[in-house]
Amino acid sequence: MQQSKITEYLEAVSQQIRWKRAQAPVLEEIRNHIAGQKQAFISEGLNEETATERAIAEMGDPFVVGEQLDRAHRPRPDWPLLIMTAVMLLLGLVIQYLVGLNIPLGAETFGRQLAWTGIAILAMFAAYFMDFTIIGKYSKGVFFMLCAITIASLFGEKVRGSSTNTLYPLLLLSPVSLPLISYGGRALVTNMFLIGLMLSVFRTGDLVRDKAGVGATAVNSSHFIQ
Amino acid sequence: MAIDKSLLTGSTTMLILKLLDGTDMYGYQMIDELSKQSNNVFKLKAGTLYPLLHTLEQKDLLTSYEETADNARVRKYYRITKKGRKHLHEKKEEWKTYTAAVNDLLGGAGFATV
Repeated sequence: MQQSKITEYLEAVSQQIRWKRAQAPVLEEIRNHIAGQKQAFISEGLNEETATERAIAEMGDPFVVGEQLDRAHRPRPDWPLLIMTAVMLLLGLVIQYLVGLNIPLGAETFGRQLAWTGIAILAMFAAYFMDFTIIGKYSKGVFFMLCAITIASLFGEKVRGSSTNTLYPLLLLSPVSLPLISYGGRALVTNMFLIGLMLSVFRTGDLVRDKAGVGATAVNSSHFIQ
Repeated sequence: MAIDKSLLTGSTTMLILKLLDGTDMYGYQMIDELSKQSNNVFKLKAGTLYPLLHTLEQKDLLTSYEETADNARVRKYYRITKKGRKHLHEKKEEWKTYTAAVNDLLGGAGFATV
């Protein structure tokens, strides 16, 4: 009964903290604090119920506290990965340009690479801001769909006897990144999409939100107690 | 010398850093010590303390580590860093300048000493 009041308070706090990964340790610290404060009140002679209530009151408004904690725990973008990506993209363009100087239709090829780079950057941001938990939710569906596309692409257009289109869905199936430099437009877009996803995971927490442990502690314990 | 815009959070930061300059502490202990050492003038709300501690930790002014207390409860202790000490020093100077100026304005040389 007394525990559930504390759990309720923690839940209210946790709802304000948007970065799920930060929640568990923060809530644990606050839970400990309330427990310590409660013990102190009890040893001052208060009964358990009053001690719990006073300890929670001492903590302050859960929404205000949660909001302040949210501000302290803003996930930051993964700058190294972003910078590396930008460097690779630029390097790819430079190489395409230099190669283009010496071959016929070089300028056209470079122009196409430039356009694909633009599309790729858009794909990256799309993946970055997408709610990627969908992938976790429908992981099996996504997997089989990718398998189907890969197999279907085997029967598509062939270049010198090989199914080049198979490469792109395969890239999503097993994220082994091809260099951003020389594989052309569609590989670039696929890669940048994956990088966007990675950035997004770094920014917001885990791929599967409901997994026990991260952020779910408060919710779980409330189920057990009530 | 430039004075921190938010005097209140600024001075709370200073007090926390000063506390930790002596010894590592956990949150509850800080509130306790602060009110003891200030004759109950500073009653810091826990809800204010933790967000502040976490912000200071992200700014690398503090680090934290966990330690199991005798009753098997894990406590999160905070320790001041080198950068934190430097920051404390700056804050102190800032505070002295500010309070000296206020005291000057209010008049009475007796107030001016910090």
